[in-house]
Amino acid sequence: MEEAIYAYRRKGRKVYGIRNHVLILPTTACVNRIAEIIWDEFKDVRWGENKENRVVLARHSGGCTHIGFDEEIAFNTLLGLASHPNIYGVLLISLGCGQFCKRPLIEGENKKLNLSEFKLYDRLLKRGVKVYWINVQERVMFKKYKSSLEQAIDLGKKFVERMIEDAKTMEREETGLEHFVMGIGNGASDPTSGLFTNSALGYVVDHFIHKGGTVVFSQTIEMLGAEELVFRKIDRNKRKHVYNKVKRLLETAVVLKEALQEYLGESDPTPGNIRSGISTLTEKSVGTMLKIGHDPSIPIKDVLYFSQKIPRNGGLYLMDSPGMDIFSISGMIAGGAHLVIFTTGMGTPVGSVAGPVLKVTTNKETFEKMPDIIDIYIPTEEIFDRGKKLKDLSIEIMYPKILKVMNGEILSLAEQRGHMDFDVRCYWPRA
Amino acid sequence: MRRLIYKVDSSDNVGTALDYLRKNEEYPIFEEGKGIIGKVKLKTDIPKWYKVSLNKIYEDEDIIKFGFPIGKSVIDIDKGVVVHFTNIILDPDLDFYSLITKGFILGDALTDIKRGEIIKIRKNFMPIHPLIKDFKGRSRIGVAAINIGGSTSIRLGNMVDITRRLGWNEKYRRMVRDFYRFLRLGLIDFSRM
Repeated sequence: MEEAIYAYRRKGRKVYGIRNHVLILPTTACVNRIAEIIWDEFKDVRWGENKENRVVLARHSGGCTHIGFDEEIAFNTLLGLASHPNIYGVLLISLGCGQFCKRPLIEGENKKLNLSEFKLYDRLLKRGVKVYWINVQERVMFKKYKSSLEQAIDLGKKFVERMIEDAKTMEREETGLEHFVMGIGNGASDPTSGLFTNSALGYVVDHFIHKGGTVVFSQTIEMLGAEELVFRKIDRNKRKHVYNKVKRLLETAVVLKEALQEYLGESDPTPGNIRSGISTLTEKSVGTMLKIGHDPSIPIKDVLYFSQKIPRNGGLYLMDSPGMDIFSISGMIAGGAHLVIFTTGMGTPVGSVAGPVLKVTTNKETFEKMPDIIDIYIPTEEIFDRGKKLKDLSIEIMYPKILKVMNGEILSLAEQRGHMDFDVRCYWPRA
Repeated sequence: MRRLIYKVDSSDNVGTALDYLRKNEEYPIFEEGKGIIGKVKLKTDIPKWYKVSLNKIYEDEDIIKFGFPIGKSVIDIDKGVVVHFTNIILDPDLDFYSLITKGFILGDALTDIKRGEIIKIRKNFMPIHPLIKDFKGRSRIGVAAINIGGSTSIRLGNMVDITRRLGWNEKYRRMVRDFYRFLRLGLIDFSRM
C-alpha cells in the first residue's frame, strides 16, 4: 500500500490501533460513579508523541436486566469496546450481581473456577487483551482497607497506573491501510447534507476502500425509501444472502416504525424536512445514503448485527443500528471501527470513547458558527467559482486530514474536548 | 449561497435552488463537474433549497434527483416551476388510480372547475374525507391544478396549494403522514380521524 499509517501494534492479536488509550469500563451502570472516581485521578494524564492518548471512561446505561437477545448484544458491545484496537488495556469495574459481573468469592471456593465464570474477563483474556478487574462486592482481602469499596477504588487506581506505565513504552509502527476500519454516519442534517456533504463523503469512502481500507455504515432506518440505491450496491448473483439480509432488515424497520408511529409524533419526511424543500421519503433517504459511495464496483460485503466484529479485509459493510447518533457510533466502535466520519449540516458535537469522530460539513454558516465542533469544512464555493469537481475537492481536503488523525498528528475536536460518548443498545424495555 | 439552480446528476429533471429565487427571472443551471449548462426562466417563486423543474414534466413521469427517481408527478409540471409534494407523489411504482379506488380522495366536484379556480367547500366541492367533512361554511381548501369535470373526485394531486390553506395543524400533519404511509403500505387508518 502506498499510504503508510503509523499505528500501535497489539501483540499476538494481528490488530493495529491508532490510539493507545487505557479504558475504565463499568460492567454495569450501577458502578458508573465508582469508575468516575478512579478516572478522576487520571483525567489529566496524557502520553504519546502528540499527547493523543489518555485514560478513557465508558459510562453507559447497560449491564443489568437485559432480556432476550438484548443480553447477547449488550455483552458483545461491552466485549467489543474492551477489546477495541485503540485500547491498550482495560480495567473492568464489576459490582458483583449484574449480568456480566464477577461473582464475589465465597470462602474456600476455587479462585480459578470463580474467575472463569466472569465471562467478560475470561473472553478478554482469551482474545489476548490486557485486562484487570475490581469487584465492589468482593470481601475485604487486605487488612489495610476498611471497606470493600475503598479496596476496589484503591486497587483500581493501582491497576490503571500500571497500565499507563506500560502503555507509555509503546511506539507507533509503520503499517498499511488494510488493517483499518472507518465508520461513517450522519446526524443533524440540513439540505446541504444531501446535496453536497454525503456525496463528498461517498467519494472519500470509495477512495479509502480502493486504498485497501474497510468502511462500515449503519443507521438502518435511514435506508427506508432508498432501497433502490442500497440494492444497487449489492451483487445479487454472488451475494444473495446479503440481499436477503438487507431486505429482512428493511422489513423489520418498517414494522418497528409502524408500531411506534403513534408515539414518534412526526413521520418521515418530518414537517421540518418538508419546510426545507424535501418532498418524499425517497428524496431524503437517497440524499443520506449517497455517503456509502458512488463506485458500483464496490458492493456491500455483508450485513452485521449491532456491535458484531467488523472483518478487516477491505470493502463495505452494513451494521444494523438505530438512527440515533450515539448508538450508531457506539455500535461501529464496538465492532472495531478505528475512527468515525460524521457528516452534519446543523452541527453536532458527538464523539466517542475509543476513537476519533470527525465532523464534516459544507454549510458555511455552521462552520463559522461552530469552528470548535466542525473538524472539516468543504468549501463548496470552489465548485461554483473555479469549476472544481466535488470528487477531487472532497478527496483533496478530507483524505489527508483523515490520515493525519489516524497517525495521531492531529486530534479530533471531540477528542480534544474529552467526549467519551458510549451506550448499549436495547430493543426491549428493562425490568 | 448564490442564486443558482444546482443539478446533481446529468439525468435529473429537477434542480435545487441554492437561494431564494424570484419568478419571471432567469437563473443559470449549474451541473456538478460541468459548470453552467443553461438557463431557466421561473414561473413561480422558489424558496431556498426547494426543487425546480428543469424541463416540462408530464403527468405520471418520474421525478429524478441524484440520478434516482424520487417520486412521480401527478399533474403536468411546466419548466421553471417549484416541485414539491403538492405536485408529486412518493412511490414511483404505484398507480395513482389505485389511490382513488382505495379511497384517498378529499371529495367530489359539484360543478366543472377550471384550472386555477379556487375550490371552496359547498360552493364547488363536497367534502368526503373524514378530516374535512365537518368543515363549516365555505372554507377554501385549495386551487384546481387541472380542469376538473363535475362530479369527479378531487384528490391530492389534481388540487394544489392545500398546505398554505389548511396550515400545519396536528390533523393535517396526520393526514400527510397517513398519505405517505398509505403510499408505502397500501393501508390507511381512518378510525383515528
